[in-house]
Amino acid sequence: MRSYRCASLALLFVISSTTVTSQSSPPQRIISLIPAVTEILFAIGAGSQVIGVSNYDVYPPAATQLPRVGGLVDPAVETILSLQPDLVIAYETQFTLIKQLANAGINVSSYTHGTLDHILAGIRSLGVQTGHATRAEQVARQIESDLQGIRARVAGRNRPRTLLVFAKEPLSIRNLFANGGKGFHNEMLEIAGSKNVFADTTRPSVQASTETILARAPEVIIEVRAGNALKPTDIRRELAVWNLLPSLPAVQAGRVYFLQGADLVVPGPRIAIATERLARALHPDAFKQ
Amino acid sequence: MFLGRSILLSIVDLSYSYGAQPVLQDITLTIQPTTVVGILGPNGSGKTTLLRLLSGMLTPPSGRVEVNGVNLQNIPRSLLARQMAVVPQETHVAFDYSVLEIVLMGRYPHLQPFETEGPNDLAIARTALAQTGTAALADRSFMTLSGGEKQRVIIASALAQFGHSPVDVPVELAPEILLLDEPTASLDLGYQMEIGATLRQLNANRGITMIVSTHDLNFAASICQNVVLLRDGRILAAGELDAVLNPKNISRLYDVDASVDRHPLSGQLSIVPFRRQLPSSVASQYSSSKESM
Amino acid sequence: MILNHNTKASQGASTEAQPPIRWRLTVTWLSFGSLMILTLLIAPLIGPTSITFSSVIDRSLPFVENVDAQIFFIARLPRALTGALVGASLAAAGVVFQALLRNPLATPYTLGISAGSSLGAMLVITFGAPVLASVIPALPLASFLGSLMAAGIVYALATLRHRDLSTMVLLLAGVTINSFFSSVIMFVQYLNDFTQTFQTVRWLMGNLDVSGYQPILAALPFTLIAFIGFAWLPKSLNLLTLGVDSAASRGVDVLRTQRLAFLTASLATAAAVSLSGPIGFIGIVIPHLVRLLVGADHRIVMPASACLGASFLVACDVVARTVMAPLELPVGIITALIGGPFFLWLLVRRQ
Repeated sequence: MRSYRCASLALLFVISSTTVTSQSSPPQRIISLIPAVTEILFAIGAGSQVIGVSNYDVYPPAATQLPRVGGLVDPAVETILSLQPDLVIAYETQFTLIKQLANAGINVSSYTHGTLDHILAGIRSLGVQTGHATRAEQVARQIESDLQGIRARVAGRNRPRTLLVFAKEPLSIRNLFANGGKGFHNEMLEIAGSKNVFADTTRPSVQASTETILARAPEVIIEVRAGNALKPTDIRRELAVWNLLPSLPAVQAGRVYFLQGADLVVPGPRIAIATERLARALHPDAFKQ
Repeated sequence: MFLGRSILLSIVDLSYSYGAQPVLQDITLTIQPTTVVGILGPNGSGKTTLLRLLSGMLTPPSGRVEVNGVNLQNIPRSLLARQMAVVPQETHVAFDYSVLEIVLMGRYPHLQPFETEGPNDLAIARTALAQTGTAALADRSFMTLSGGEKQRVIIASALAQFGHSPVDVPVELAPEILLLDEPTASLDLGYQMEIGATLRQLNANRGITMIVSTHDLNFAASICQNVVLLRDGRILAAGELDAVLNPKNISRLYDVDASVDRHPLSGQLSIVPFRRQLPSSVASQYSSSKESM
Repeated sequence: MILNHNTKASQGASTEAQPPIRWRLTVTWLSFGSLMILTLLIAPLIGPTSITFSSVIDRSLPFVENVDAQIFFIARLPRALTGALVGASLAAAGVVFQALLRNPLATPYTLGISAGSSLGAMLVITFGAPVLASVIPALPLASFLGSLMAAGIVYALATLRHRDLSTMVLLLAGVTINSFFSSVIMFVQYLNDFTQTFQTVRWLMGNLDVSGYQPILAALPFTLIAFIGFAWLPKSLNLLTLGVDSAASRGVDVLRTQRLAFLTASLATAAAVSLSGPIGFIGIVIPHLVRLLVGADHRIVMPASACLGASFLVACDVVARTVMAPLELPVGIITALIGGPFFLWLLVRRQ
């Protein structure tokens, strides 16, 4: 595959770590501020080395038992320091935090969300960093093959124009945020056999007005939500709201779906599962066995 | 207390309190049409409260006010507004109305809820402006006027509340009562005299009954035919100006020694205070009985 | 300023001269009314997607295939109508509040209505909608109830000690409610996650994109009731601006007028904000502008403000959806960008 690119990305990731002291043994006290990274760490077998997670971590269940240290906008520096980590993985944009931790002599790695390639590279490089390189390679390969499998299943089929909705006002289609042309969701849609209606935009999310939705005329609408808060009755009600636009091809064909779960919005090891969920909604007949 | 010929306004046993504090007690008074009556007294004597009771803005817990024999409380608001108008001490308008608009507002009591003013109303407004010498100011912005001009415009607006037509109507059928609350208190001397002259003219030419509260004795002397002296919520004395406004009553009213003479040039009473009294001397020197007419 | 004060021609008039109010009323309704109708006719034709009127009314295409018609009737026309309703309501309510408080700087939000509405909306965004919201969308309902609650509290506070509505106490109560609700709102916002914060921020910027006629029909009864109430106010408001006592002595039932003014203006504002979120500057800029053009008589200022408010908001919305197309800016940004400098100019001019 694009292994050369993966390797170079992995190298980039390792280099971007701000090291104060060089380490010969893998870190045993890792704090992860990023849900995706937490999932990766547990997936590659480094779960026992994790001692703190962000406020927004929900998976795996073992992670939710760990101490919470804040999130992107409000990292709890005191808590982090009190846990005496030997590696903290933070967002690239948390400049202040990174500086503070570096001053305290703590190893900090920064991480960027990005494309599917970034996820795979991230898995591999975290494997190297935490001493689980072999397992990480397995996980990455599995994801690659799963994604390839999905691609194969939906190959040759018609690619419907799809609107992927992240958020909207409850029981209304106002203040609707949809997937834009950038980011990993775009790739997921592509692998799952569809065309993002907003593929031509350059932002990861777009606020779509009624007019824009009508003009783009999606053939399939998929709403995704991170939590599991909505009960079936609520979901039915939210879907019924789309009847406000009966002229949309998606509404005409009854192809409006609602998917819940953190795997859909976290660019982590469950990305293939999420992509398959999308593919099943888009091409149900391809999964009939 | 009889002030004039027939009775227009009758006040019987009027009392009022703000909470536990009595402000007016046992006020009984009658006022004849076309007279100018001054209500005089120091601050806190109850002048403003009396005026507000007379205009119907306050409801007396005991006693009553009657206009032409009808209890004030039984006269519908808009009907009362066609007979009685109030000129406050100062008028601040929040928005930029023209003088004519303000005078035309005096016609509102005559209009139905969605009716707009007609030619008749406009004529009455113009007459009112002319009678207060403010016709030339009709298109000016009210906010830009001087203090004296503003007061005269407000008087014109009050005048516009009277009368269904510009022709004269007997005063018994259409009483015109003007209540003025310290009309010159915020004006300087020149404007004070302006207002005084305007009021005298209106009374002489149109026969408007006026009740003026003021603490300015000279102003009262320049326009009033009758005066009522109020102190601590009670009537100290009431009657014709020349009879009531004497040094004895003035000292009872204000604790001040004053000379009262007829001014050689204006012919009006001129009151000049010259000495403040010490409180102990008041009780010993003068009796406290009310003057009767 | 031909509509302003009397012209020289009618000075020294004959006894048959008409007071200026009648023709001024006629001219006002004709001119401002036409402006509003014109704006409403043109606005749905302009937007980020180009459509042609001939395609819109083309009957040969079935509706489900006629994208131009869909955009016109589903996306843009309701949006224009919403803009007109909200703009008219906020402008008229602004006039009434300014008269009630005898203060040209008063806005429909001075007495806490927008804060109440925002709190209601925020509670729904953060904590979700209760079960009863199966038929009615919870967000507009909650923001409407929030406004009414705020107005109710302010009214109760203002009438606590005295029977009459003292404007000073009204103002103080309004300011108090505004600050108190704002702090509760801040707390609720703190509990939000990313998505909810986004939703909150966008709601606060104002949004006319109703995607259908249902929300308009839901708000309409309240708006109509408010405007029927407005029709009774202008003369009394004129008198009220002379002062409470001056109004009373000219036959105005002051307490009833104040209550009616407060009630109708609060209702109109509550309905508007629940429909579109809190859009600013219309309630203060339009009345001022109108007074500059037509004078201070409320019988003219109110209908003129309603019509101009409607036109202004619809026009701002057109700008909002075309100036950075295909991106659609929240309309509140445009009203602020235009309204802010204008208001500054007004203040400077007054000196």
